[in-house]
Amino acid sequence: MKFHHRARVIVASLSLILIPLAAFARQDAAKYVCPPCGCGADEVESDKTGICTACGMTLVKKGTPAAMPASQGPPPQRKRAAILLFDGVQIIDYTGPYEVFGQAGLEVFTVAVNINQIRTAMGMQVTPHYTLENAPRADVIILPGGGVTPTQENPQVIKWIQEKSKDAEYVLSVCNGAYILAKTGLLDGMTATTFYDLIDGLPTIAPKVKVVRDRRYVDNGKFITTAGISSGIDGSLYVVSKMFSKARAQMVALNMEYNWQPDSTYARASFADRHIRNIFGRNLRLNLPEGVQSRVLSTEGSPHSWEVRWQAQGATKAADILKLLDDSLTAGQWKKENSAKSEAARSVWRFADEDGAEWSGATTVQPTGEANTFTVSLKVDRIGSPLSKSDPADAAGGIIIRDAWIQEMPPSQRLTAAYMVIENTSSRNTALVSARSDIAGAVELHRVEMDDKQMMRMRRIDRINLPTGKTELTGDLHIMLIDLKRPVQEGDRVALTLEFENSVTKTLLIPVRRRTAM
Amino acid sequence: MKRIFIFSIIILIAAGFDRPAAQDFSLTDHNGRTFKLSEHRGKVILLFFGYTSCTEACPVILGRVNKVFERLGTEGEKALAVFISLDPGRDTPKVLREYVKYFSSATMALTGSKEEIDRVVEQFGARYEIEKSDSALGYHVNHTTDIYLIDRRGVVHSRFRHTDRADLMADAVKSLIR
Repeated sequence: MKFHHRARVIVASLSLILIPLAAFARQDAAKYVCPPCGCGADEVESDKTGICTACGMTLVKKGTPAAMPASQGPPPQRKRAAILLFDGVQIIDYTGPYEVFGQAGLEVFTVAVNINQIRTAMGMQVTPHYTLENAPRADVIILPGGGVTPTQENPQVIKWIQEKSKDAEYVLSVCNGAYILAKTGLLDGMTATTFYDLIDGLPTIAPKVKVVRDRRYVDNGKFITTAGISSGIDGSLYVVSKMFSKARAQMVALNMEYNWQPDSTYARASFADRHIRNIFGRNLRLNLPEGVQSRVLSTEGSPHSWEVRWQAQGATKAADILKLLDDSLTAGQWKKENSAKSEAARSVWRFADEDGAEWSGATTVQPTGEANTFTVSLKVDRIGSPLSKSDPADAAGGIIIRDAWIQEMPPSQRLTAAYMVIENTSSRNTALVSARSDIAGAVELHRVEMDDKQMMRMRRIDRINLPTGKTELTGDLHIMLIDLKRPVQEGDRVALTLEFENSVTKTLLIPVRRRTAM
Repeated sequence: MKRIFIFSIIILIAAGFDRPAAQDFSLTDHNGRTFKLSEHRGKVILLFFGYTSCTEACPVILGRVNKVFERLGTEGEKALAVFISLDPGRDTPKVLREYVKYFSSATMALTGSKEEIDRVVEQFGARYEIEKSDSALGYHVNHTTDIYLIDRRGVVHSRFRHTDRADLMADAVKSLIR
């Protein structure tokens, strides 16, 4: 009985294997097709392997999963993305998102004021699919940048965006497309970003929008604004991950061979070169003595530090180049430091940025050894920043404070916490003994830790020891501001005075930020 | 025989763990209305304990929960976040109403009498202590920070730590919604 049963099982399993095998053998004269890609030759069958004559992709066996369209089974409803076009539109601003949303399986179409051919920035010619009147409903609306002024001032376009965004899941602006979006009023009360060189202009046309320079894209839920040009690709991938899944966005990025780094903190507008561009313009043109030519050798750095190097050529002296450079910096509201150690062709500067933070600047002009050739360098460093090489004596008692921020709390809460990294650059131990702020009734030092019963235990402590090196007040240790006189919001700056041992004090202007969740 | 007896006891206990009971409790929500967990059967629930004067774990958790609902999109309608205050002294429904406004609209903030809250804490195996302090705050609320994932039948499915990433939680919620 038992044996019979086993035999039956064996026969059953063998047939399970053999029947499909036989079917397979019959189909041995297989057909090969192009993997579905929309190249126009997807339906063409070939008797042998090879490459598609239309697109060059390797042919795959017909009937295998590789030959199936990417979206298996009919999707219930294909999502649609509308891209606004206008004369002067920046090419990658609209083609980047077109590529991403198209690859993610959306039906992408372009919309313009009328059906006339569009002339993009740099002269590409495109014919829009639809006009504002006949464009279908879209799940995503994309507003690219470029020469946006006539568009942002066109009431017809503004009304179209206001109407259509009601039905849309997401509205994404790329670059100075944020200007168009801001003009609709839909961004009021929200946070936004735009092209790095237009960040300072956005608040003028949109006073109710909080403009930030430290993010590649800003998510307000439905309304997402990205920084300039290529940022639209990251913004679009981000929308795809929100709309569908991170996996879908990952697959699109991989297929685009795009080095997608969703956790990257890259934010072009945050770079410290803005302090140099403010004076010398986007093209970094130096004001030089008559007959002297220059070219940029390098421009590189970080949000905390930047250096531009030029080569200058012409019959002149290093001191004359420096003189004109100094004039430009003085005109740019920098203050020359009275520095005894300053060499002949070097000057040292101080200036404050838009938030009041202090920066140092240094210029040098050095002969290269070749006749009439000089290397000119201009370097800026945020004082107290990790890359700063400024004299430690700048810092009170050898204390340097970095990355300070205060947490935005719900407005009902009359308390919050300040976080920072404190570096003791001296060789002596010291301690933070108290803190005070005009905004809070009480400021206390706190420690929170997980106890042996797995409870988060909060305690007030009398001091925070600061041995040589870094001490992080980034959570476990923090400074608590209690009994706030008014709620603090992202964008505010709060003055906080820290008192260290030996009566050393330091007052900081600390930005308030929303806590970002991971 | 004795061995078999012990063995069957173990099996019975294991079976008991296999089918945990659906949770229920009744507290007051931030609108002053009664919140009864069993009236929300059919929704996947993220439940956690805290207090509004907390600047560390609680805003982190609420921020993460926000992020979870962002990721859920329209599926978020089938889920709910429940923040149970351990601080009835300070966290009145009015305070809670202002507090949750700042976070996801899917978050319900609950309070009750100390006895009612204690019962729910015990029911979930959470812990807290009110500790007097020389801080201007007067006292601290020390508490466990786990986030309980409750399935559509009201059964605790799993537990997250407050340090777990939002995408992990969102994926788990999604899997229970479907």
